[in-house]
Amino acid sequence: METPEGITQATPVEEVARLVRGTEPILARAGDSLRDLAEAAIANPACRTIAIVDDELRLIGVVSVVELLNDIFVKVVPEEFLGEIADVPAALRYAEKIGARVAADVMAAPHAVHPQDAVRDAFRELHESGLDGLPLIDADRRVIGYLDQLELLVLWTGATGRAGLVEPGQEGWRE
Amino acid sequence: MTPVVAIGIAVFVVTYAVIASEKVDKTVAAVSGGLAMVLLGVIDQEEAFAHIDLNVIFLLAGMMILADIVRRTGIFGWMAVRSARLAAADPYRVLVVMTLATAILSAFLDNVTTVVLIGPVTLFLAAGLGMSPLPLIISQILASNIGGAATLIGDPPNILIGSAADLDFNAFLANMAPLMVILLALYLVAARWIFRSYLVVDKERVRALLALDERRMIEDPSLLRRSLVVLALTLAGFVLHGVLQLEAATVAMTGAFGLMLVTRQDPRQVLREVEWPTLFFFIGLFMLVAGIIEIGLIDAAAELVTAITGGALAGTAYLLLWVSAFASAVIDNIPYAATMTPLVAQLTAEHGPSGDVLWWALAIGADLGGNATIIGASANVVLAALSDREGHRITFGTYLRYGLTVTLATMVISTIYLWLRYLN
Repeated sequence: METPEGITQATPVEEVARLVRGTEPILARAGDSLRDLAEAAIANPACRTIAIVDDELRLIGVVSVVELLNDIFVKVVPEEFLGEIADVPAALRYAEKIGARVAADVMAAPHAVHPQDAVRDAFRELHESGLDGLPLIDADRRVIGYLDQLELLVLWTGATGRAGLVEPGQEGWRE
Repeated sequence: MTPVVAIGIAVFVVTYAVIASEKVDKTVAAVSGGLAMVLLGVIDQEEAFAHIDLNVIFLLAGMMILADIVRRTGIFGWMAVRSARLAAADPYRVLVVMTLATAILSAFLDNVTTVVLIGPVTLFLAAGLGMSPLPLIISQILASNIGGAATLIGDPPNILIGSAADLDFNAFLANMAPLMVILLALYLVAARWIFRSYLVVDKERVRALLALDERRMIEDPSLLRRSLVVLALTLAGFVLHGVLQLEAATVAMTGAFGLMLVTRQDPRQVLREVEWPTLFFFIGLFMLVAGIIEIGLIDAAAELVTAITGGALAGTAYLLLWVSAFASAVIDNIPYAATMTPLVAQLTAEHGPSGDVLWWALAIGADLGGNATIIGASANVVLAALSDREGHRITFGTYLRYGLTVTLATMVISTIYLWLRYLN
């Protein structure tokens, strides 16, 4: 029997794109400056993970908007970051941020999902990467879309209605 | 040579080689070597444990706890940013201020903690000024080792020497600090010429640095006030510990736990920050060295040194100074100092009170030798890695040009200092 949980877990990612109005991905090149990335993020605020691609639009890395903000503001208000440095790894991370000039300097590993991946796989990738969204890629690793974590919430609420969580005051709620 | 002596030498040499190769973590290597001395019957457990100098272990632990709590107040970052802002208009002034800040902090904190706190500020400054961080980073490497050499608590070899020779905080201040002040002053004068091609900045970029706000570095003003009071009392304790008939470890532990008491710190959190691997590294080294003491290797080495120098104090001091500097340039100066302290104890015994010069020769050589190469001390490695991550690689060869030159110059000046002050 298909349960709301089963639907939520097993639904392919491409189905999510059909259920919700999809968000356009942001594509950038490894040599783009941090300013270029910031301007691209501003132009498409619904997309919170920038896909870094090569000349054939194949995914080679990602930059989250949150990290981009940190990479830019480390040079604007360094005091906010310097106070947090307590050990060698933290100092090394700070040094990387100070030295960052282009997308290649700040991009993380190329986290992504395929259209046929189940939503549970997409969630695991989001959870493990700490990203707010993931590029959607085809079999050749070309970026074809973007999946945001909010879209997974839309799918879940659609599948469970209001039965997914027992809320205060509802039957079955225990103080 | 009896089998026990052969086994003891073999364990010692293999352990040293493994530590130097960095194939195995140095703490694991040192403790394994110490345990091998016991397991292979070179010494028994009682003898091995008796050689663990708890004054050294607890002094180190106390200073680690103190440094960790005070670091959380943000005062060190405040100092760094304040210094940077004051000097932001001129690259040479930035170099002088950051080098002095590094040397002063290194005199009271361990060198790695110092460079972790100062290094990132330096990189920000260099990026902000649009200049290469190379002159600042190299100056800070040199300053961390020179500053650390100035006090009993500034560098681990000094702690080992102070405990073994019963030389207190004031003895180090009186004998080591003057030389280090001279060396640092001369270096800063020379640095203007050495790095003249690097000390050029875009004046327009300076404005961004002037916008820095050091007040935002202070996380907890209340913790800061209480910490500074306890820190001041602890430093006073170090100055007076001879008069008070207290060992340095007692002063450090009283400061550490006194600070935990008045700042209501969670001991589990604070003790987690203690560098246990470093403490066990020392424990392993003490056990290892216990083995070679028991088999008579130290006696034999002392006889060899006496034969080379003819027993002359001056010759022995200069030999110790230069050999220690070269040894510390290529191997970790902590195991070197741990091995040399029993040897120097024997040599000083032959010369009475005037023999103390041998301790200073060992301390100067072991502390400053680390400046010669990029791998000569942990602080060097950390600063070079920071520069590398920031995009400015300092290669072994690049550093060697500056490090070796400065080390040779400091050794020559140190030789003159020893001659003028003790051997003339």
